Amino acid sequence: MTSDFTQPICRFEHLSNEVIYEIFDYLDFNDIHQSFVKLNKRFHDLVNSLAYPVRIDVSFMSKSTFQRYIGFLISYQNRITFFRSSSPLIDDLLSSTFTKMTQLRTLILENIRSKHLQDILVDLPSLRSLVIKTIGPISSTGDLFRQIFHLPALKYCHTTFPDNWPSCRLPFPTTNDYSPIETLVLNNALPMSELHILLSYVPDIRRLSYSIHQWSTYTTMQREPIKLSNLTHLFLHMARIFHSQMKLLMEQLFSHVRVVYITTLDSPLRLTTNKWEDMVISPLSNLHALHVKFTDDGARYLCWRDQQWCWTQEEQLQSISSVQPITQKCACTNRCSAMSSSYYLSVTQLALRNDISKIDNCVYFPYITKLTIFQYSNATNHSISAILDRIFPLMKLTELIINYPQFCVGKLAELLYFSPNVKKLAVHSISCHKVSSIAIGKSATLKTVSENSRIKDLIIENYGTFADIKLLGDLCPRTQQLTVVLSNSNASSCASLLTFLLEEQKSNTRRLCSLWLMNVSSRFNRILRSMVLSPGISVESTNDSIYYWW
Amino acid sequence: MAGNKIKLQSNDGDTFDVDVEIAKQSATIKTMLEDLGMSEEDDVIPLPNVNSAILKKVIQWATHHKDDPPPPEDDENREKNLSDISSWDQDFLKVDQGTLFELILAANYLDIKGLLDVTCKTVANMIKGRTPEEIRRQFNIKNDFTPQEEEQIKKENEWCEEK
Repeated sequence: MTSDFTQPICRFEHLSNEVIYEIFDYLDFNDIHQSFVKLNKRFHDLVNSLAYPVRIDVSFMSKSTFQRYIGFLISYQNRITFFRSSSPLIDDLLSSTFTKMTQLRTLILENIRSKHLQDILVDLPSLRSLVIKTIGPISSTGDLFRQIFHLPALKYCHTTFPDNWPSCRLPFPTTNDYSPIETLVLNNALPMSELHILLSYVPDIRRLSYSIHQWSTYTTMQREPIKLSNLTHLFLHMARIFHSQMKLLMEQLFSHVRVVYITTLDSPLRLTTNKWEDMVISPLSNLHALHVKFTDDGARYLCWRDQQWCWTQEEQLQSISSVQPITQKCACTNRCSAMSSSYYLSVTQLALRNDISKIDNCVYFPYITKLTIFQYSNATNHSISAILDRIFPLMKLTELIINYPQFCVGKLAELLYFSPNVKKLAVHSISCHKVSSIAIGKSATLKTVSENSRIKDLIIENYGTFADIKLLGDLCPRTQQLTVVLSNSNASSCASLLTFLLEEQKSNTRRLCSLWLMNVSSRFNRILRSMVLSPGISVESTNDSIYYWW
Repeated sequence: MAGNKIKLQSNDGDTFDVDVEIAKQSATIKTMLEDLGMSEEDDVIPLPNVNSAILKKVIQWATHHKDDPPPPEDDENREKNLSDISSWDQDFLKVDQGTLFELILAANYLDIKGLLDVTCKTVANMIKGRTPEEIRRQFNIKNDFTPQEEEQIKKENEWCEEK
């Protein structure tokens, strides 16, 4: 596009308000505000129009930027429709603001201290979608759930609490306590005895995802069945499956369910199709489909559909599998019936493992945004990027999880080279054999990756050496949040890491504004907290983690 | 409509023979054909809001993308990505600003979601991080505030000024 144009026939100002808002959708509201409020009268009015919904994402924002943002939030609080945060230190500053967010429809709070939720979840009359992941102790999950259930417009609720969260002790609900929630995702173990009461609060529920950890308590409860006649889709996650309890659960709570997805670590050899028929298919008279994913040793699927069973053990399906249940259906159709390409359109997350040379080039997943790579082998001459690019567009990938220990940094760089839109990268550990920061500067590929990287969120699951962090920092210089999972063996070198990251801001860490250290022992936690840091750095610690924000 | 082709007519009178399936990427044309009962006997579909040059570009885009999967459903929680523009689209949109904005207007009128998305992304990339003065220069936008209004707006937004 030429920059020295002269008065084009059609100009930006000729676009309708509707189209201008379409363009705004791709920009952060702060950018829109900074650029357009002072532009001219029309754009000033467009930005300030009550009809224009304000979407705010303060994840990965630096402390100083956020402090400037507070005034902005207060000015627009009654127009905010979407709010997202992932910092545990902003809730102090924000709790009072939420009471004025009368238009808020979606609220995503990750890493929030649970004590603040009681102030936040008070008066949100328009809230339809709530995602919360708490850190630190929870005094009463029962009170928290009751607050959630009193949100009058809530349809989607996704909760993740720490593993050691206390019992709910919810009373049975009265009619006034019923919640309009239609989709409930309980991402932690809730005792089955309490699930019964909790589901009594959500009579309109259509989809439930639940992790079963305590089988034994349910059978002793002898409760009356509850009628959840709208509940059609059930997602269960469990380590081991107990036949009689599973059957009872299906009979008492889920009798109307039409589709069941189960993920289990249990052995497929132990659970025959006869057992599945007795514990799931017989009790559920409306059942259309059952999908079971065995994750113990790779991914294997058992599928029941149209009164027929099928196992998927093809090598190809062991090489790629979906994180989403829908692909279990898709995978099964390979054997059960003619494959419908529309199934693949709905898949956005893939996992890769085993022999990737067996991947069938005929399948294509156009909307994959998240890829998880486990240990794999590749007997072909083609690179992993070349193989993957044939089954989905690497260009669209925004999240890359590498669960492959000592992953070769050269391969990582190649993957990132072809996936320039990755914003979140998690690596177990890397192998830096023959590669250094100096090599990054000299290699054209590594340099391009470094220059084009859009990674904001970098997670290192197994901290190896200080050099690894520096190398990844060179590869991902726009990282804003770094998470490092420590082990006892490398705790001592962590102090120098901390000094490097917090005190010596280099060009490749200049955008870094938050650091999570995970799996920190209590002794080391004390040592780290006693370190003298710049006054601008805020610190928050939980039992086994420390968070720095600046 | 002859065979699997239809004729589209621009506002300056040119007609283009286009495969029906390619033309149906436009929800507006699809509706005309399916819901409004237009049939093979109808000679041409007039498109009074699109000129010949732009219609030619739109057909070129739709032909290249004819085998694309249908675009994903709009999801208000999905983050819209500014940068995933294919290299073909990037080359296709290396045009002057007038053409780019006319393509946006045409994509909006013809209701071609993929083309509207990619053209809006291109404009958003031109805007991102620019100051009001830079945007005025880039898009030739006149500042119509009076000095008093400008002062007032500056005052109202003091809190968000970079310090």
